[in-house]
Amino acid sequence: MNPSCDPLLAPGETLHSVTEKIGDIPLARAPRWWWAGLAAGFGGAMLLAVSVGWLFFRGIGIWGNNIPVAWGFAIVNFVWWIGIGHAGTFISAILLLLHQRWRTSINRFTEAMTLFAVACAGIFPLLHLGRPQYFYWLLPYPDTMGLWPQFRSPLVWDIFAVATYATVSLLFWYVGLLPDLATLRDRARTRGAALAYGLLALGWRGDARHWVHHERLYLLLAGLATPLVVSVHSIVGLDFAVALLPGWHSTVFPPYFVAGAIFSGFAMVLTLVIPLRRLYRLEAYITPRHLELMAKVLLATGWMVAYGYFCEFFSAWRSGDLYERFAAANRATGPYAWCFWLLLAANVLTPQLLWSRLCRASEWALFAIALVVNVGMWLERFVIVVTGLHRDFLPAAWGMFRPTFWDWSTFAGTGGLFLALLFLFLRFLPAISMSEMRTLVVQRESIP
Amino acid sequence: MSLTIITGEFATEAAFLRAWRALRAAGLNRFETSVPHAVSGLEDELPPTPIARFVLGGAACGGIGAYLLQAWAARDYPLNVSGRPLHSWPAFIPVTFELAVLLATLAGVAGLCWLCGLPRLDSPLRDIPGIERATQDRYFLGVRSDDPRFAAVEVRHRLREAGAEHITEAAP
Amino acid sequence: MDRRAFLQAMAASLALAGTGCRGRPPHGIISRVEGTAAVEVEWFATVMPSEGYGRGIVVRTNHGHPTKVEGNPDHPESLGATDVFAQAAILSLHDPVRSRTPRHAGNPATWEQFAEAWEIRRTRFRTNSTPILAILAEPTTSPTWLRQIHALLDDFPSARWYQHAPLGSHSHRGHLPEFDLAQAEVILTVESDLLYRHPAALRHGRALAGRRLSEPGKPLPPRFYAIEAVPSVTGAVADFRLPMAPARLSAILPAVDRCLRDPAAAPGLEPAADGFVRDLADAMRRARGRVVVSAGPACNDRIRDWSDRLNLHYGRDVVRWRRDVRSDRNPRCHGGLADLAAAITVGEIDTLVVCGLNPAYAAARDLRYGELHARIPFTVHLGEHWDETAMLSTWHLPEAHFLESWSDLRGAGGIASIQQPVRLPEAESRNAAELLHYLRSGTTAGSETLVRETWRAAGANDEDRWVSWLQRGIVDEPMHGDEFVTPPEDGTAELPPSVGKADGLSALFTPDPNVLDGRWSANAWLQELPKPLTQLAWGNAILLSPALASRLGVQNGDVLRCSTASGELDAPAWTMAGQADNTVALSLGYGRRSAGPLASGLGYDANLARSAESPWHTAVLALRKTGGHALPVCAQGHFQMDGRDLARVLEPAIASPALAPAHRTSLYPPRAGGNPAWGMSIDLSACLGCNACVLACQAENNIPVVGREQVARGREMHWLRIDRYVTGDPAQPRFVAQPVPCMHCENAPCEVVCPVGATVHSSEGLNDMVYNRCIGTRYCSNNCPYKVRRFNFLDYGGDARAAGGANPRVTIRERGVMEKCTYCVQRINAGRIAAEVAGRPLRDGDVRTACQQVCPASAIVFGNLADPASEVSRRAASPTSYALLDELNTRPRTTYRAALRHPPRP
Repeated sequence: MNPSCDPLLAPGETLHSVTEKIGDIPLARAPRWWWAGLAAGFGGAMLLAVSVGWLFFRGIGIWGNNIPVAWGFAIVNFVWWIGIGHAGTFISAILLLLHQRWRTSINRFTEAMTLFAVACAGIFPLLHLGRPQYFYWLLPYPDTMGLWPQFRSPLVWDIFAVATYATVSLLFWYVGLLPDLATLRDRARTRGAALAYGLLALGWRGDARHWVHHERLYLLLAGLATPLVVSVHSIVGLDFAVALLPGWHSTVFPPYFVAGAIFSGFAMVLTLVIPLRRLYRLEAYITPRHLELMAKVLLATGWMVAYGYFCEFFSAWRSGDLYERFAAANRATGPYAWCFWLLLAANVLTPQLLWSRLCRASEWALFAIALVVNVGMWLERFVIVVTGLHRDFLPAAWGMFRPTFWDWSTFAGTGGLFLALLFLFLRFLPAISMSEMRTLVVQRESIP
Repeated sequence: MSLTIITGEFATEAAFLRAWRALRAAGLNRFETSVPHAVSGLEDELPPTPIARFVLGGAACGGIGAYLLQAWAARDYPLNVSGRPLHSWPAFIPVTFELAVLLATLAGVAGLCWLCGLPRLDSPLRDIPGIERATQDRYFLGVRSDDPRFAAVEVRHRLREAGAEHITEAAP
Repeated sequence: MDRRAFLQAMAASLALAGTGCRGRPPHGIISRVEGTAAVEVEWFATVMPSEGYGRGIVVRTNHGHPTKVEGNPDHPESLGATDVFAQAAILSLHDPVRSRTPRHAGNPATWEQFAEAWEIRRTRFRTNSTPILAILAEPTTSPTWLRQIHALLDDFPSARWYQHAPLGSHSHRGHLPEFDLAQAEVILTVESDLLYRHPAALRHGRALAGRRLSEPGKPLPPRFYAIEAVPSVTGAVADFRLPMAPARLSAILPAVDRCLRDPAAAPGLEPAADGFVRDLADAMRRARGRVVVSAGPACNDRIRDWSDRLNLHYGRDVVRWRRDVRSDRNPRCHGGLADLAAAITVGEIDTLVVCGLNPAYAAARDLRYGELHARIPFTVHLGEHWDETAMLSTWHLPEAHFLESWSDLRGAGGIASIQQPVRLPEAESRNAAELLHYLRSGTTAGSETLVRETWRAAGANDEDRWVSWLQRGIVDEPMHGDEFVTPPEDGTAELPPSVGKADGLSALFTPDPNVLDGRWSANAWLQELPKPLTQLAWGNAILLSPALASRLGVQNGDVLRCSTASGELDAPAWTMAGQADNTVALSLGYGRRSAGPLASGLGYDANLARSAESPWHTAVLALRKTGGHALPVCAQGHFQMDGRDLARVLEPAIASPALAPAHRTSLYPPRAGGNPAWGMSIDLSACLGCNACVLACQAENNIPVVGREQVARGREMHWLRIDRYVTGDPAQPRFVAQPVPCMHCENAPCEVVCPVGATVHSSEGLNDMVYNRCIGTRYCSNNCPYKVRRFNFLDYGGDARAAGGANPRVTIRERGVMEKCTYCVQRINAGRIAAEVAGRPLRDGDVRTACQQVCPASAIVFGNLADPASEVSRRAASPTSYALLDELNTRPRTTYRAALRHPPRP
């Protein structure tokens, strides 16, 4: 069967079956694999706690950062996580505005993924400070010395962008979650659960007029989130583009970062959704058609990213600038060239497999490709941050960056934190929006 | 006479909408409803929602406030930074935009709460049997007895006519 | 205690040195100027020993605590400048592991116990002519010490005085040539580090730089030729440098002589050397009478004879000879270390007193000195450290630091200075003269008394004179033997030279540029200081030329086993551009077994492969890879400029106006310049690359030491670094040294990216770093194209929060904050206050940065760019002046003047 004609919803689903299948997951006992997953995530989070504790005790010298590579894993990880965080809002907001109904069954989950990725991302700019106890100096507040943040710095833009993005994503997610929380409240089997979900639902009872406000606000938030999602990674791109370093100082960075963010975000969505739909038997809602569509987005954004790589090299060559040209050549032939070629293989070559319908239809192939793209996008940020810094203007000041155990443990630790949050989400909240699924059911019924 | 609500329970969105229109045609206005999803076609029956004004107001406050804050901070403690002018307006754009979006969102969510009366722990339809299915797969439409055109018999009749499966009368 | 823990302890001891209270001054010392503006600051003139010669210094004390060493402008061997060692001396003074207590057989003991043990022997030595008492010391110029040794030899019939100069002798046949580089037209150095490791190095540096500072209308600078196997500081600033294996050196001067006599004659060397010699001979012929030839301590007598001869014939106007003021050839001296070893072997020596030397480590291992030393029944070691020799000695006695005791020294040019202490010793210790006095008389006399006695005849009883000697730091009394002499021409030079075996691989032993023969091993500043030219820190390596390395298939860091007739050693390889092929350079001073927690175990011990017979070079029997890998720590990333216009080199004849920077436009409105507008100009032509500025900056600005592991990670903290580039033909490259402090850009890229405004511009144009506001994003460092910013990745400042040994006027930086060159803002403020107190405006020269003050070459000038008459404005306006990375439009306040080097004659 041609997968592009696959339905977005399995036949035979009703309002009741939707509510029951999705709504019972948080209310039922957790399956054994859930405990295993949570334990793994929790273990990782503990590793993060130890790493951060040691970091605060000893200082960021426990990492491999140095002069000239003053930014290392922390910024690489920050950009990687925040990039992953872009798929959720992209799926929820931009696809909503574009009336892509296939987003319905995955938007809740991807929004949650966004939030957790942004939480992981948000940790790094704080941890990487030499004196993290003074992080709040980045915010404008009436300081007794009359001092203000220096608003010309992209790092201040960053703080505002990430904080706004985290808040808006959380509210957007929560507003969408309200009716489902009410459903869970009403289906809860214990008083405790009813109370908890009841409090979270804020007393939502689904008045038809409230639904009108709700729908409109949801649409407006999508409208706000759309430029926001573009702005956030543009600003992250400006962190680099505003600097005068060869290899960083480039106007292509903001759009190229946004494309890369969506690319990596979709890769992460696929990485997580493919096993989860199996484990929770949600194949009826997350159908092969969804996977196929996401694969196409991956392919398309992969080409945008490839265009970004090309642009970097082209503009370096076209600039005629000695330093720019060297930075480009050093990327391809310098001591970190293996990272560069690996990232090209991962981000440009691997997605080309998605031209094949066979690959798009195969869960295993998609899962593997998505994993490779995740690694590739991490390498891309590593290449930008580290090879951009390690050889700049004065050859005498060149250096090398070698990550330490603590670099790796902090990164792995945020992976654990991400997993732990994700498993808690899966356990206690509906992973698919029931209210939106109901709309899908009703719409299908209304079509003769 | 104490306040009561006569509530009809419907199995489909279409029946609910039919009842709504019938009651509106009868001049009734004070409804208490509870439905599992947004009813398509209903927004045409209602006055336009003012929520966009909240969002716009928030965006304006956030954007203008952020820009003024930055421009003022640069003058409040004037520093020579890289030889840049104090009023470096291009550099102030990102924060202006971000704060506009942030305040718009906060205002919108606050507006939703305001318009829907959230948070609240009570529901006028709480005593209707089976009301818990209103958040799952059933549609409830109640008419308040304080509606000026309220007539219990007519309300019951129209609810039944539209396809109500159960009709209950209960105090809110 | 690991090295990191030790560094912390060291920082703590600096802090303890000045916990609040005012230091009690030693008796009798006289400060330099009465009534300075700041009451807590005092200056004391004294003198520092350098291989036995004296160099005038002044020591700054804050609240009585010595904090900084500067050169003594009144002293002809300093002229206000110092070398790296004088800068580092202040740290050695505060060294927590300096020996503080006498030890008997390794166990802590007291001076009284030593006195008991000595008294028995003393009476025996007074009367009997056997057994033998031997004194071993480094040759010295100190009149007081020499007076004491002579008195001891007079009193003890059995006493013998042995001398050992571990770093060789700069004089030849008792004569030290004195060069007038300011008048020379041709300079030739043969294995001679004339500008770095020479008793008159500072004077030479000043004179050469004076010629090289580019001024319109000035005569061209001298043509400078260097012949050496391994690039030295001096060789690196030469116009022409010929790498040549030591075995071939004997042939070169006769070849020059041949070409001088007959311009058509063929030098008869290899092609590269032939061209060099022809060019050199041609230049010497043109500049007859104004030629300087210097052969270094590692050269054999034949080469040095030739050098004297060429100087006699061609250097009439610029070379004179003095009888060496150092005691190398003192008639009462019994011999050298080899003679002592022979005497020990035959069992003649009953008692040995070693003053300040460490032969158990620093002597060639084929002498087996350690074993011999242990054979002597009674040995006394006077030293600052519990070192290898101390461990083998019956008695170890703590030696007083030169800043803690009285003495006297003479400079290479003969001038004498009184060495006065600047603080009281922390523990009971004696200097060598005091010990000799005690050994002889059995009574204790303070070093002050001994020195006064020496100078009584010269007028020390006249209190005014004595005070003026101490204030100025020089004795204005001509000494016997100061007059110039003419050395007799040595006939052996007429003999045809034997051409050395050119093909064999030879090993060259060089004192390490930073720790020399190991005498500075315990100094953390010198350990961390990137060594001139190699930029290695915290260790040594086997240096070999890139050609040899590629022939052997050796990468940097591959461990090599080097075998010579004397022994073998394993050490990591490091390629050095410009090194003669067929040579490996082994540097002394590392592989210490007992040098405190800081230096023990660093590097390898070159003495293992060294022979006492030929201490400076020997044939290599085998050189092969062991398969091991141990990358030495190098502070510089890359040594080529890769086509970038960074350190400019120009021909002196062309002061090209094309160098004037193009006018660059900006999107931003111009800012009104303040007055003063501070700026700096660094003259690459004058710069010797001697590193003194780097250490002066470290001492002045409380820059922490981070240790080997941190430097290996790329976290060294020097605010001022010297970039060294290699250009031109790899076989005969040219070196350029470029000191890089903060550029204090007017459009500073660091400022705009700081999110909290921790680095901003002052009205006087300083790029200020506000430590208290810094949260440590390190974005500023990323955006600094010059990479001059330094970050406290760990708690490098340690516990030195209220440091007393450190400069109290400079904040100790906290963990997690950025720091960098401030243009010595504390000195700017001090200068401003002094001017205000005096009720006059700031004048040019009122404010001198630490790097500027110490520079022997006057390469660095700091001042007000808004004042067109200031020296810095004058230099910045010269046609060879340029801004580094000018194309970025950062508008640096620090500018450079191109290095001027003669082009090879076509």
